[in-house]
Amino acid sequence: MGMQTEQLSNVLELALPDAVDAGEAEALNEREAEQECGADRSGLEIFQRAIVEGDQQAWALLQDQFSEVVRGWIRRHPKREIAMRLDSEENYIAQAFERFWQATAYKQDLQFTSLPAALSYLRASLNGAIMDTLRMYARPREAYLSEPGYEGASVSEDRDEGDELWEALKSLLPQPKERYLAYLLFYCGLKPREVVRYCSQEFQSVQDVYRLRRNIIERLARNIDQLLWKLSVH
Amino acid sequence: MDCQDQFAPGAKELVLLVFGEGELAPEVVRHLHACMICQQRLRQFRQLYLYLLAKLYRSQCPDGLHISLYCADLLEKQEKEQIEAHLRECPLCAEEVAISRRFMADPLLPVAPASPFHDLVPMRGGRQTRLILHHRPRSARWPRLYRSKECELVLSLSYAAPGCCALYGLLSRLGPALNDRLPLEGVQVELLPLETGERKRGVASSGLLLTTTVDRDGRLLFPAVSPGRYTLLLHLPVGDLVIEDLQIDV
Ligand SMILES: [Zn+2]
Ligand SMILES: [Zn+2]
Repeated sequence: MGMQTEQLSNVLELALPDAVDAGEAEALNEREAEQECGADRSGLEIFQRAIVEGDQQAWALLQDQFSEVVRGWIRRHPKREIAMRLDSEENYIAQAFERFWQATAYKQDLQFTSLPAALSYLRASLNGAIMDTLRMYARPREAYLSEPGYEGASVSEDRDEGDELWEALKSLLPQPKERYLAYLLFYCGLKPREVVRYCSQEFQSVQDVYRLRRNIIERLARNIDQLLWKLSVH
Repeated sequence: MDCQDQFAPGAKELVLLVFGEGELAPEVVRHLHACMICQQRLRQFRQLYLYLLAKLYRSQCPDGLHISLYCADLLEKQEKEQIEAHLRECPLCAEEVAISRRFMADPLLPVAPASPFHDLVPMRGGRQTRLILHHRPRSARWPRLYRSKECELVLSLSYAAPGCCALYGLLSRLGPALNDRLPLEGVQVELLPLETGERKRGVASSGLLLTTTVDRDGRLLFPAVSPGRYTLLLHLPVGDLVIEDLQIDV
């Protein structure tokens, strides 16, 4: 029976990556209360050692043990088809761990009290990687400053400049509906048809959008020198 | 410097051109082709448009990780409120949130939906069957871990003899508070073979029922099990735990 016992204790450890059948999103809190029970402790310990103590070995073990779990998540992602056209499963897995690592390194006080909590964070990291990849490919071509001869500020310059620009634009557009359309056109890069699709409450028809966009353009045109000057795009 | 030519396009026409919807009179087009001043002005307009788009495009959007943490309810209050405010304006982020929520509504690890099997399980001593678990084929690896609110069961297989294996498990409580209320020692465990072929839910063929009891350390053992599909029943004091459709192959 001695051997049997040993087998059993191995079993418990081996099963850990699978341990969280946590459809239990709602059970997370409960699980926190239950953390005392040994069941997912060692899985959790790996997370803690990897994250809190920065233990490289634990980190490698973490990736090793949970890679397949991450792969399973990718395969159930609502956008998996398009995501797989843009990057490989292996890259998404690597990115998930990397983001997880960055997020946890950045948040020094982050402590996981249960394995499901840690896994939720890891899954959020994976989703972040997938969503950012999709977002990057959805970026309109025009939104890259590729125009030759452009000598203004570089794209990498900070958000303040964008805010300043937006303030200048807003000051030219007193009507809330026009402002919102300008937001959708420039911040979201939407085409008139997309505006209607996304915001059918505010914009009932494409004609409606074209008309308003024309108003916006006219205002921009009337004030373009002022804007160009403000932006130093001379 | 402005072009003084009578056919020079005005600011409005230039902006429309940039947006790709200007219909210019042929003489204006001809002028534009020939006039350096007007071409330079068109370039400025285009740069302005590209600049606006490049500077503003999604510049206020939280990144994918923050969207995800928001959906998993892992953000602090302030960050959460900021994202909520942004979502009221930004349809692209709202869409990402919807997708992320759908993704995260999934269980962290796949669990099969509970089946109506318990209706067919004979009640013992009037106790209610509490939980039914079965595995999807894709996660049917050994060892397997099952968890209910109260306890957790790890099951594993080992080879015993040709065409025969040992099924063993470890039953443990979840939460120290349950120690007294949930004694595990002596819990009866039954392994019921399911009829092969056309599957009849919950119908066990008679005569082949295997039983065992959980020992003091929570262990259970069926030393000789033939390959096949089984239902495993654990008669816990708080109710029966049923593992449905347990596929055992050597
Ligand atoms: Zn000219
Ligand atoms: Zn956004």
